[in-house]
Amino acid sequence: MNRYPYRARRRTLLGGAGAAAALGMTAACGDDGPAGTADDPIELSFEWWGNDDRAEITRQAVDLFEEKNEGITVTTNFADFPDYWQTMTTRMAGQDLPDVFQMDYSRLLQFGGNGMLLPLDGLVDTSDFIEGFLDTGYVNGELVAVPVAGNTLGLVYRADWFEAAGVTLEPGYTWADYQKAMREVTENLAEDGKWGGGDFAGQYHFMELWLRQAGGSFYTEDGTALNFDKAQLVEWWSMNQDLAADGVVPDIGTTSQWEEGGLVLDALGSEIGWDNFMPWFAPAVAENGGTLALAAPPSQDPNNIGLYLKPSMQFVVGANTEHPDESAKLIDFLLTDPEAIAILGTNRGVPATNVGRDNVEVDEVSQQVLDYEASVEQYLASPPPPPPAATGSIEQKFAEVYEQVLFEELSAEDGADTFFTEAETLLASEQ
Amino acid sequence: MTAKTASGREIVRNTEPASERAKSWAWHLIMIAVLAIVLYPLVWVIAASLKGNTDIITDTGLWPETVTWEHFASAFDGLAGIPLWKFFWNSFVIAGLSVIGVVASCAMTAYALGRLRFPGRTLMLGIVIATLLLPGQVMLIPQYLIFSELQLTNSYVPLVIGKFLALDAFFVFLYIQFMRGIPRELDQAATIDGAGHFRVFFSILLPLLRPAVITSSIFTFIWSWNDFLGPLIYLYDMEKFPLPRLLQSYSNSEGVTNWGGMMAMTLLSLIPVVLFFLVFQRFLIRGIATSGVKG
Repeated sequence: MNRYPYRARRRTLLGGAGAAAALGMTAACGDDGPAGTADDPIELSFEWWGNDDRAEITRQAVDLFEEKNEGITVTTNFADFPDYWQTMTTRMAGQDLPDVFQMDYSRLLQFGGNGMLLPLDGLVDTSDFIEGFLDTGYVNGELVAVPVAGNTLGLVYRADWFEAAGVTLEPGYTWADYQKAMREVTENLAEDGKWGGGDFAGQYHFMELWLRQAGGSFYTEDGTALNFDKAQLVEWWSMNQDLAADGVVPDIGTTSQWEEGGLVLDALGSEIGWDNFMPWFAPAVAENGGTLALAAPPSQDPNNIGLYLKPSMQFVVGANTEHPDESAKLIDFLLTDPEAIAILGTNRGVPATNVGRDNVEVDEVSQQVLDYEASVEQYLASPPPPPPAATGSIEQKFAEVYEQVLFEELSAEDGADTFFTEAETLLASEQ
Repeated sequence: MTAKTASGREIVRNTEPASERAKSWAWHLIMIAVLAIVLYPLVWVIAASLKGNTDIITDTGLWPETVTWEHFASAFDGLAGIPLWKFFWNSFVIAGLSVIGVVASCAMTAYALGRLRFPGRTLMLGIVIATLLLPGQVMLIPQYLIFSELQLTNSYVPLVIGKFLALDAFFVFLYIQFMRGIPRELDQAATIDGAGHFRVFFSILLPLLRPAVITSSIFTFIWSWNDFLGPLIYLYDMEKFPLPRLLQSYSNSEGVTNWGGMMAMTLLSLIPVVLFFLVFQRFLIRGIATSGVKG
């Protein structure tokens, strides 16, 4: 019983009517729990974030799992990313998490750090993951998550626009080179509502990249504090001031009205971003008559681009599960069964297992992503430790404060002060 | 109006009706302008549901350059092997149970709090009204904990049980206010004839409360039909999803949202609400009129 401390606690929480009702319900299915036969199946729940396309193929893969594992039925549930986390945090409070669910690296510590996730060592088959990938699944020395697919940062750009402007991005190019390139593309386009690129300073991931290129990091090793000073933040936030003033990048008044990304809107010529998002953008860009390409992001140091392979999503098992073995079986199936891999394709990204890569059908755009990852392989450094639980809120605050700077409600210096105060409060409250 | 002579009438016609007509024209023009503003979003949704996905976000013009029916076709496909009617059915079950619950429980609660005299009545009424002031988000986690302990999550119980327990204080309040307009002499007369509380309630008050019943039914139906947060938190099984969950499955924070599919589905999911409203609106108007006169 020690393995499921939460389950034990749950049973004692509500006495009286609650327990009686609960007992009445479990009694109906027999005292020993489900037998795991076709008549009395074990019920697993499996949840993820995503849209209807992902639901469609995931359900197909799960149906196949049920077919191959008689005696296990799987209920599936999904929601879009922000709503998904709203339900998961509510259910974390109730210690009522699904058996198997999809985890985001930025949330791993929030859930794994307080025992909400079941240790997977010895449960899930870990022999087939691509090297170094599993490292990101450890919290306090215990494996609590396995990667489904990975991604890394890159520069997604409109090859047609860059070519027309005669701009090339040589490997090892600097941030200043990138800004110059945006300027040239914007000038060459000479069209209202089209720019060579956007203001990238509002994303904390990009600042993290920039810090890593100089040997730094965003959070300290133990994740309790920010690992840079205000002057560095001011420098980062002031980087694109001239570009915005000259109209090289769209101003905040414009971008804040966009419902979709600039590449999809046919408005931006380049964007730093996660490389696995490119397959989502490519069809829309193609429809607008453009072509996309992927390059390494700009760097402060040509020998250190600061990249690392991050799990784009992970699978975890809730510590409150009553069926750890069956849950592990489902994870193994989704990641290593050739038929399941063929069904799931690259919807969640290029698989993180060798058998996955051998069996997945990769389309042209995903192949571009794979080629890109191979090309920067020599630059991939060890990943930073899982970010602190507060990182989601800090990320949001980072963008909000920078927005205020752009709207000229705050100077970059005042903005840095505000952000540091907010971030320190958030970090302290999550300890 | 009848006039004695033809000439006399003509004079009247040439002066008064002219200004009358101008007034009427201006009035109608203003009303049409207001109507256009009110209906614009609906027209936009209809137009967007017929556009290609990239056109919706890039082409700001109202009318689509090329009309496509693919969004409706894909909407009729349902989701992950679950047919579309199933989502409509689930929504109907939740909304229907909610309406039954509200009508059954709120009227009775209102009778107790509005008509009966018993110790602690004012305090209880105060507590009921006070729940109106409590934001739903505050109760989200505690409520979830309760239903989770009772193992009632992933069922419709958490979504409708409150309706059966008269937790919708707004409607209790509505019924009480409405009941105040019904003369007490009616129930006293029934009491003299030997009727108990149940008889008074079912035979005298409930029929007179009909406008309030209709009003609360319409609102409850629309609110639970559109509710997203409850089904999001409590339902884990796609088979049990109501329409708002299906609608949300078109949005995609990671990539490109299927706006066209969302617009088409929005239109389809509006139809039952509009029908429900059309059927009941005659009662709704009468309900407001009568309660207005008496209140």
